[in-house]
Amino acid sequence: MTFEEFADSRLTALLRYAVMLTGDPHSAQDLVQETMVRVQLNWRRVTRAESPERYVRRMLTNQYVDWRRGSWVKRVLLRGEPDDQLAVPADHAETSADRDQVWSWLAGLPRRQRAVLVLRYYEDLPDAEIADVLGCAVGTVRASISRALSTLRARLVETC
Amino acid sequence: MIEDDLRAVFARHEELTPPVGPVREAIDKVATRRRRRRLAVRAAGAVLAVLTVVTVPTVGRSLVSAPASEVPVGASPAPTQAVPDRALNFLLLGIEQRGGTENGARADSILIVHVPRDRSRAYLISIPRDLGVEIPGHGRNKINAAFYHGSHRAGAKLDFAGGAGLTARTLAGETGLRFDGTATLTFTGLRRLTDAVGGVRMCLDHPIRSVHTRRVFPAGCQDLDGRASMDLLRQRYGMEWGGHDRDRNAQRFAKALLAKLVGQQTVTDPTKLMAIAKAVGDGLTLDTGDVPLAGLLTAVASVATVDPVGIGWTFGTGSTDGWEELDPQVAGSLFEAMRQDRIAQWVTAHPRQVTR
Repeated sequence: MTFEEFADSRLTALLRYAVMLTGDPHSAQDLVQETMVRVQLNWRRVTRAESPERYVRRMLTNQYVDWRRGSWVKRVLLRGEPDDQLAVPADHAETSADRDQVWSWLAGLPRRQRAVLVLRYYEDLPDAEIADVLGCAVGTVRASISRALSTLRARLVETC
Repeated sequence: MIEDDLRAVFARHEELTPPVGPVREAIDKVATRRRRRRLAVRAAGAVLAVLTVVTVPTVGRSLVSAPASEVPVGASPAPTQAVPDRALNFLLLGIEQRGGTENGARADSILIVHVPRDRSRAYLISIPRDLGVEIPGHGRNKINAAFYHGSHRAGAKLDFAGGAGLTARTLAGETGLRFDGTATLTFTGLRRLTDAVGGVRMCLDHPIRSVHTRRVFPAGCQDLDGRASMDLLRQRYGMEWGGHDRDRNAQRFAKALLAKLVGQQTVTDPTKLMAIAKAVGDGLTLDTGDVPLAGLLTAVASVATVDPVGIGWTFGTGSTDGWEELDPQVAGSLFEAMRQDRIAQWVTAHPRQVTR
């Protein structure tokens, strides 16, 4: 498989996944872009992985979780040359304002917890695979899920 | 309950997904740029290594027979002199001679090699050849013209050491650094070097047609002798990126050359080194001022085993006529750090400036 074939088949899914992680299309684009640049530059190493698809998802997730260390935020968000601006999709939040509160609460979670939720409830991965993506134990994944869910439940109770 | 909400929320926000097209384009653009940068640094490291390799036997020979023509300015070995116990700066210049004595030569690639006082590793700082500078005695011009003014002697052979010297003085005025030596390599030197190692294997992604000899270099890998390499490395016109493509070929060449030297174990064989140095002859001009060459090479050799750190993006593109300018903040602090022997800290504080 060439990088081009990989990008053709996987880019949309990666962008969707990045939107769920970051919560907005701009950060998602930056996250995917930075990850895929590194994928392209290290393509041989990526193809040596058992499943390039999973390997890249892992790269992207780590990139996102390591955000605060400034590894890509510095290079991507503070770089000198802004990319052509994306058209921002129309704001649809008003139509379902209350249910989308959950979306905004997600932004308040620690990144690792949000990543766990996305992998569990968006990507529908089993705990073992989530642990593989995040490079941690299955027990840690379950603990993260339950902590994240109880945070969200607490917010839900507050607003009711 | 909340689990179902989550699934629904995620599904609903799928429509935020940005379109693929622009992302795809941006990925390719950034990857190409970063690949170039990475290559440039590797190539610079390779050139440094090649120069080190080539200069080692020159010293050996000069210590034995010391032919005056090969040991230019100030290399009269004063054995009591030691390499100064401070950071060292060298200037590496790649030049193309444009036919005869009249047209002169300009420095097409300019690289500062900075070795901190603790000799932990080398730092490579690229200087764009189109940087606008004040050349002592010749007014404002592009930096690559300093070599021309310094080396040009009406009707006489070009004075490479003089050209390198004026380039060093110009850069010293611009940066406040002092230079401990210069090395100048011509295309002829490169040709002889290539032949001396038995040719190099280069791989091209596009066919290239020489405007000088009409030779066509096909896409793909090929073995090139010195003459062919030189021909290829001069090509700039009719290529998609012009000068950038030429730079890239030069980088490919440097990599191929280094691979050959390492592969033949030339680096560790003094006899082979001697033969190569002899072949390169006056294609390489070395000037180490009042710093003793032998000690210098000992210092550099200890450094050459560690990967050099490349520093780039120090320069903003200039306003007019394709001249480039220093980025006052970045370059100012970089040169200050180099003067004060704090470059490691500077690099730590400016990770974006490090090229990989």
